[in-house]
Amino acid sequence: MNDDLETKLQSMRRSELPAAWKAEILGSLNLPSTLPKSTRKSLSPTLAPPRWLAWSMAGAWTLVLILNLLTPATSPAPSSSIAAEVSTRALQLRREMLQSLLATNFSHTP
Amino acid sequence: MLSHAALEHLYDAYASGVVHYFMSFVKCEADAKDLLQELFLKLHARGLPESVESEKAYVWHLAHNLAIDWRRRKGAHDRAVESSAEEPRSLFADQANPDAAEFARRLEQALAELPTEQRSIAQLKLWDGLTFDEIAAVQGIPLNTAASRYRYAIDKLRTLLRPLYEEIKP
Repeated sequence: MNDDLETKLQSMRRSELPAAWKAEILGSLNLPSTLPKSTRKSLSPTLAPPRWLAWSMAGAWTLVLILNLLTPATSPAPSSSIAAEVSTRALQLRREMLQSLLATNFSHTP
Repeated sequence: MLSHAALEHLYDAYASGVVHYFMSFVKCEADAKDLLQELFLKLHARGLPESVESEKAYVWHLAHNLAIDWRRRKGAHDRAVESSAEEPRSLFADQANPDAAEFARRLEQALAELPTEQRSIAQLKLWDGLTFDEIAAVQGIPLNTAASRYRYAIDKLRTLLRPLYEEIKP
């Protein structure tokens, strides 16, 4: 019975694949990219940035760079010279106050 | 890389059997076709390594790994939804004889009742002509396991098909 059944099962002819599959599957291997189908699907052209956008962005950045190089630098005064100017003025004020104090003291001395 | 002629030879030799094998894992024709395409992309990219002794064993081993990867990717829930959503592909060719057609239908039902491990081994042994040694190598299991799973599969098929088989046996 067992051998008979196995023989009977082995004699069962299995269904054929659709003929179009062969051309479809083997044809897909000639694509320049051999990425799996799922990966190829994800590279939808709508998601890829258009070429004109890339070129216009590159042009804009180049223009910004050129303008930056051509514009003369208006550098602010160095902070060290400002500090020196402030301290000079403070010293001058202090000297004036001291002189006025001394003058006041001498004038009150009997 | 393999030439187009070599790939065509591999397709003619293995595609049909491999799709039936995939069907024992995925149950859905679209998924089986995707896996077949993935198999041929791998064969196209890798070719047949020189260390490979048997082309047959190499192709089946790649196919088995793809099927296992597919099962890992898909959850049990997804599989249940898919299997109920789509009518499984018919495993056997159309039979002119009504008895043979009925036997094919019942055999398909009986195969569907087998666990995947048993069903896949029964397919490789009965219809793809692999030996137990080759099946063990393809699935990465001990030889005895392959043989015992096949035996369990045949016993279950015999139980399920006996009434009909006895009836139509010439």
